[in-house]
Amino acid sequence: MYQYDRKGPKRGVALYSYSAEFGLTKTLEDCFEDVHDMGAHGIEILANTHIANYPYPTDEWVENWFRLCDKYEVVPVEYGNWIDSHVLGDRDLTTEESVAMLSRDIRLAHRLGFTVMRTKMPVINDLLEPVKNWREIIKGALPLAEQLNIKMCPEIHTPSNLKGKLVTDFVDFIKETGTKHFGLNIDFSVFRTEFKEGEWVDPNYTPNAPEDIIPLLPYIYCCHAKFINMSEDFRETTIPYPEIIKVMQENGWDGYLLSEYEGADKYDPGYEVGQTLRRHHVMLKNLLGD
Amino acid sequence: MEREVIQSVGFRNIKENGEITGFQFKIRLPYYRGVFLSQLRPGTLFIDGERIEKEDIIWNVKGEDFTVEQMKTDFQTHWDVTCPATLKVKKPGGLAQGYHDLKYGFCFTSSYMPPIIQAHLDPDKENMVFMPEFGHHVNERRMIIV
Amino acid sequence: MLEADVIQYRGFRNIERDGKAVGFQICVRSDYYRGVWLSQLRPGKVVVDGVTYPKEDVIWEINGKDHTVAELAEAGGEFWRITDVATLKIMKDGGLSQGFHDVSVRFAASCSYMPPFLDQFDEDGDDRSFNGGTYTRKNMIIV
Repeated sequence: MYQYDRKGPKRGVALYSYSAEFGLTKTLEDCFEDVHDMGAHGIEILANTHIANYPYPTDEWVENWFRLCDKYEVVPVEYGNWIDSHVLGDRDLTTEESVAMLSRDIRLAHRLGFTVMRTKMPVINDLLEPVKNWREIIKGALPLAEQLNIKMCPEIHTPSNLKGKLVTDFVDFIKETGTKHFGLNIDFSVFRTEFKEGEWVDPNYTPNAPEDIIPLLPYIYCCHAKFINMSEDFRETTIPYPEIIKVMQENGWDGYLLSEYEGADKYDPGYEVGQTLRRHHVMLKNLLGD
Repeated sequence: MEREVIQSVGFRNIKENGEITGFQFKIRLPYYRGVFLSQLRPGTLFIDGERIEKEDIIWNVKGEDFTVEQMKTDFQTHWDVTCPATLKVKKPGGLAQGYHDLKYGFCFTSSYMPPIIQAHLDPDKENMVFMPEFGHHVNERRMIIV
Repeated sequence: MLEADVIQYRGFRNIERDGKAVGFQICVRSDYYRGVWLSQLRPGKVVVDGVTYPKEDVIWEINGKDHTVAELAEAGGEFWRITDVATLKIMKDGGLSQGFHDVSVRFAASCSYMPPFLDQFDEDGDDRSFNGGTYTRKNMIIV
């Protein structure tokens, strides 16, 4: 399987970015080639989106998956999954049922060569607090994650704050259990400082300073390099990228920054998100010096 | 697959043992990820203004038929974003040749969204705020039976 | 799947050998309604940011195989399917610089069932014909 040995922050793409084109004008292979054009070597897929016949892909599909990784020099970095414990309308899944769902994804992630999972938690309120039994669910899946060397990472996304209760609870859990198989995915939306005039901003949101990430670095196995607006001269105008990258480099962080574009304009007819991602990768390439 | 949620390919009368027993059409999932069947909230179909209740519509996903009741508890069968579902309606004689106006509503839940948003999901009404990555609940298309 | 434009954003990148950029490549689809035998192709010039690369400098990769324009003219037994791209490769030390580029590619397909006076194409000119012309896409990005 293809390996990319560079140390430090590395470039990748979250295929979520292609959500308005995938299946309509782009196949999975088209997305891989687009990533290859950018010279990026990491990829995040969404299990429930990009795996045909999820959660039970055929052997042929899996074989083709590894063919794509080799052909386009791509490392399977992060497997996006959901603990969908509100999947039934009238009751929540039990802890055992949630563990079973999560374990099925751990096995599939491992089968496809992933080492990190973006494990999206089910929430109970608009502060995005996870379900009460999240610790039990994660503990139930930890032995399997250890056995298959998978790191489960909830995503920390605006309006959450790196110094907030959500993150503190996760870090306390990591310290209590001493686990290396549960960590964090930081979405760079938590660093956003600039908003358009009149744009709605969540009242629960306070931007983090780049250095707020330092104490968390040992627990971060992956980042969503969220970007909102790339200028014509390849600058991100809403998030202090140069400062964030500098902090991560200087503190010896090793892992992938997965470009993720969430702008609603990508659903406009004729929009090619690949062009937007290329702009982002011009910037990242120059900041990382790869 | 067509960009429209209601696909023009797959709209036809259903023939069983030489007799027309109903009609079918296909829809794609306008979400950025697939869903388990219990996440779906199927709604009402209007065909040329005639109302068809959700209980009278069979969903076929990956070649298997499901009633609304069966879908409610099925969190193992997954509907992929790349595979349209076929919706089947019983109607002796089927639809007449010519143009038909279809209007169909459905939506789906997500565990990672605040429950307050989930509680008010109505497949036959649009959300207060339209979010492109969740698509429209109610879709309309005029199509032809040959 | 292909983009609607003849020149594809996807596949536009520098060609690297031993870690060094030695050229660049552009992928095109055919906007004809049927696939063609390679000898039917009338490959023309490529222009990037006003710099013209004559057709003799362009290698056409189709079905995984490289062809010079002279070789294309002889390849009557090989077929370019309508669902595939052709990858045009041009050698250039250092490749193209990082940033935006305006790209034009000129080509056509000849067609036996058209009257010969219509089945004409000037590979080096700028006219459109029924079966081809100069295709342009602006602001293509090299990362």
